[in-house]
Amino acid sequence: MRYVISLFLLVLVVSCHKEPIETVVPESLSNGFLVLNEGLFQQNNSSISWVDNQNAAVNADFFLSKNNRLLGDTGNDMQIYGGKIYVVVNGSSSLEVLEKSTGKSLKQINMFVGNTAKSPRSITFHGNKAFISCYDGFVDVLDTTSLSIVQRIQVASNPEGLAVSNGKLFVANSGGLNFPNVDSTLSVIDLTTYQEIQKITVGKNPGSVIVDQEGDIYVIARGNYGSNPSRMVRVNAINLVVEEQFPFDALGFARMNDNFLITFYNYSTQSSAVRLFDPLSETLLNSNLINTSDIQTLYGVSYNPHNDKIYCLDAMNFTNTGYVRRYSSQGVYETSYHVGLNPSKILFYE
Amino acid sequence: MKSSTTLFFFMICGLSFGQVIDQQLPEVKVTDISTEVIKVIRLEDRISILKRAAILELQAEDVGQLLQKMEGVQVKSYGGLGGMKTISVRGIGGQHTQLIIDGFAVSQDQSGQINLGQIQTENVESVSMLSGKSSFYLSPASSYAAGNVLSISTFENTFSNVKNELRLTQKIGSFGQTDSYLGYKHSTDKWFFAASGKYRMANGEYPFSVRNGSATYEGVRSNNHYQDANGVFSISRNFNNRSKAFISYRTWYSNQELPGAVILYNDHSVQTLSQLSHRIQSSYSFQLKQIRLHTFAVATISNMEYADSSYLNAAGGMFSEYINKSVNTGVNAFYSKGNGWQYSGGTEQQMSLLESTMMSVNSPIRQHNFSFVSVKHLGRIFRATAQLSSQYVLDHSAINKSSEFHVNPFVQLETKEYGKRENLEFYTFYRNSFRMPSFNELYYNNIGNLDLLPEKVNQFAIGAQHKHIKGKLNVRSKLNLYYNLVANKIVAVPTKNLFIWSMQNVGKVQVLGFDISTDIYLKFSDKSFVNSIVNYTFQSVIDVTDNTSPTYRHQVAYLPVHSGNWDVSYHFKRHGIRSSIYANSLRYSLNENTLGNKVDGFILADLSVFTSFAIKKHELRLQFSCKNILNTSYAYVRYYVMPGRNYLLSLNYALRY
Repeated sequence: MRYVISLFLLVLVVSCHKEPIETVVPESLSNGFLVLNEGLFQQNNSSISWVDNQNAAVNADFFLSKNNRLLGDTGNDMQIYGGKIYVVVNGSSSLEVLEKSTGKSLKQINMFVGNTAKSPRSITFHGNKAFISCYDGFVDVLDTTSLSIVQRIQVASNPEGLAVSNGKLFVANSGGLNFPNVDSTLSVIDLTTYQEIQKITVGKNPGSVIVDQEGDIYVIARGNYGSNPSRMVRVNAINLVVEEQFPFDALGFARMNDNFLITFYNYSTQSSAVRLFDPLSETLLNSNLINTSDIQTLYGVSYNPHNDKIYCLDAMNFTNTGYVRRYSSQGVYETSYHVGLNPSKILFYE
Repeated sequence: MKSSTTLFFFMICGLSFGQVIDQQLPEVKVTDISTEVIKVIRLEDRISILKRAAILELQAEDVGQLLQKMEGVQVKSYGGLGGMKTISVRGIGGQHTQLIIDGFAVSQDQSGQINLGQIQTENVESVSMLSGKSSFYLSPASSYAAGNVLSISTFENTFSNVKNELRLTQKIGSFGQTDSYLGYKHSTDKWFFAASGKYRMANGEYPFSVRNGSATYEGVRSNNHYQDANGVFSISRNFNNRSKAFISYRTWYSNQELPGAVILYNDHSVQTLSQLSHRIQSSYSFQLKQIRLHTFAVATISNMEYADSSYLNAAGGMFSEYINKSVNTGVNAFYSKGNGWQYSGGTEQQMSLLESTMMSVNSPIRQHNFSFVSVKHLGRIFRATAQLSSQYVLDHSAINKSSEFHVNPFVQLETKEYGKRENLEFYTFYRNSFRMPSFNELYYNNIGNLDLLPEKVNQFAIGAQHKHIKGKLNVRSKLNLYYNLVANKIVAVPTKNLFIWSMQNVGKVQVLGFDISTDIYLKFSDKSFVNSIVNYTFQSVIDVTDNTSPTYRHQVAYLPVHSGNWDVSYHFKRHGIRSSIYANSLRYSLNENTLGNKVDGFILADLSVFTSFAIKKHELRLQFSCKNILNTSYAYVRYYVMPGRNYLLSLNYALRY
């Protein structure tokens, strides 16, 4: 009996593990990059990692160490505009505005209509306004000086990616929560009146939106995850007509100087591809720029103009912590950084 | 005399506890210490069993809370009255545990496992967990084929040696909880009939705190109202002590709000779930020369409605309905000439159908046959059991048709009482079993996977138990050591992105565990005694799927390596006090054992005082409990916060004449 009790107590003592020491985060950020890790929904474990280029040290809880609180549930987008970083947190239905140079919180904006979460997804900017797509069917307009929401613009269901071209805002209406009856339109919003002026049909389940040097709008219509494949379409900036659907699979994209890096992940074969695309000539320069054999699940890509490197985000199996994998601009693997759960966005510092 | 009467009832009833009695027989000669010892938790021949007195003392809301007191069992609770509670037994998922209530198997084809938070304890006479045993005497064949068996026996469905018994329970607890139960049973040698009704509700608005960096978020659980009601009517006829017929009807209703995980900065939830079920069960047992035969039939219909008005789709919310209909029939036979050989066999046919708009197919049907044969030899030194069970499963719907046929062995060797004082026993067993994917796992829209294979389990164990009886001291200890392997583990994994998950057979899990328990009973005088029960469970449950994976040899999510209980009660005349402590070590919210996935271990302590009065045929029992007396802030599942210190007052009235 005595033995049982002492074992029981011993066990309780042994179970109190020591916590490992966190790497120090610099007061002022430079020569490195921030990674937004989405986390897993319902677990409040979205995080931001800071990676120091010099010594490759990773601070896995950058947001927490700067702000003494957690980022929240499912961070979906992170962008720099002006001197600020904007982090869109979907599950927590909040927008975190941070000081660019330090990562310290300037304001947390809770996005609700009454008690109903707006569920923000993505953010883009124009002039002194930020536009945030919200899953409840609206785009919120934020004044980047006063950091308050000044207007809501109604679009269609479950808007995702957005981009600005020629004084207009283009918003992809995914309708993802009506699966399989998804949406297939792109809302066009006049940025002088903040009114939707048109809807363009681009293909089923549109997601990411990007604009090229000429102002043409590229949208990824993700199809139905089955017979209807995920493809990129181009909308003419002037006449707002869908001019082309490209014949290669595409899921996401990022700018690399004047070109696009286009990513694709095949769910059934679990293979990844990073393509190089020239939007001026509208030709695919390389359909496999990177040897992706080191990547388990390609979850995003970014190009760093400061050091001319490509960074691929590897979500592993979605439930294990992910990696940022660095390649030369020619696509040669260089190194990996171990970051948080489901890394999806990256911001570079000179 | 008492034992033989009980045995008589069990044999005649043909209900689930026959085997318990069968194995208690050798103990009768040493268990003359006191009948009280039987009233509290005790170690009974490797069956973890909780009887009514202990159930009352623990003031558990539901069977899930009771199972946490048992060694080797890990409970996962999502919080609140009626909230989801699932179990894992010896590191194996709850889907491998067949639930038997009053000797009837409860079909779990829809979701794979039963919410133990909704099985209440007011009318429960005993709860037994069987790991590595054949099954209970004359139990349905499905229980012989399962990895583990959880058996519950209720007041309404058992013969009693009291002619008329009326039971009334009224509870009042924190967070708006009230429970009312009224049960009546009339019992004679020839027949009994029983009827009962129960209603309970709670607003579930308990305060909680979660750490958020250096700050603490203090909130009150919202959208957590709960109510349920049930009614039972049963009747049984005993013909000439040779055959018995039984029929019972049960209806059950619940309506609950689902608070979900506490999401930081967005702590609002509007989901609701309501359920209604009806069940008719009947059995007939009879003697055919030296063969005892038991036949049964069960029909169940259950309806479940889920609503989430915050779901941002075009319909303005997610509303879904599920209707599950099932029928079970079967027959069991038991034969023994009393020469040390016992033979049993049985077959059970289950048919289950699910209707829901949330399924990828219309009305999938499962036909599942379980059969078994078992031989037991009671030798001079050893007791040996060999059993074969077979399962034939036919799943079909408009778009698929698949079948499975497996034969699974179970062998067990036990020593009889060993040593000078015949106080030591050893056992070993091997069991091979599997569980089918549930309807949800196969067919649920976008998540289900028609290609799923059954999840297979191999269990090996050895163990010993020791009895020490000297004067007024009675000490029983037992030790179990086990090694289990799970293959084709069915897990939900995100496949397309974070929000699109799918069911896959991806896992291999290795379980290496042991548990020790000691039950000390010390009698001071005829009026007072102390009972102390300690158990400790060690479970290394690791992922061995792929040695290149970051989670290779990591502890599987939500299973603590260490856990244990320590209960002490002191009884003086009709009064008593009981302290109940449960502790577990840290767990991980995902299979990767990283700091970020850590979920802290916790210690829970409950304290209760109770007293009872008896005036003639009336008995009144009063109990007051303070639960989570340390006000520990804890969670079984990450961000599914549990209540802090709370109180429960209960009054039990019984009239027996």
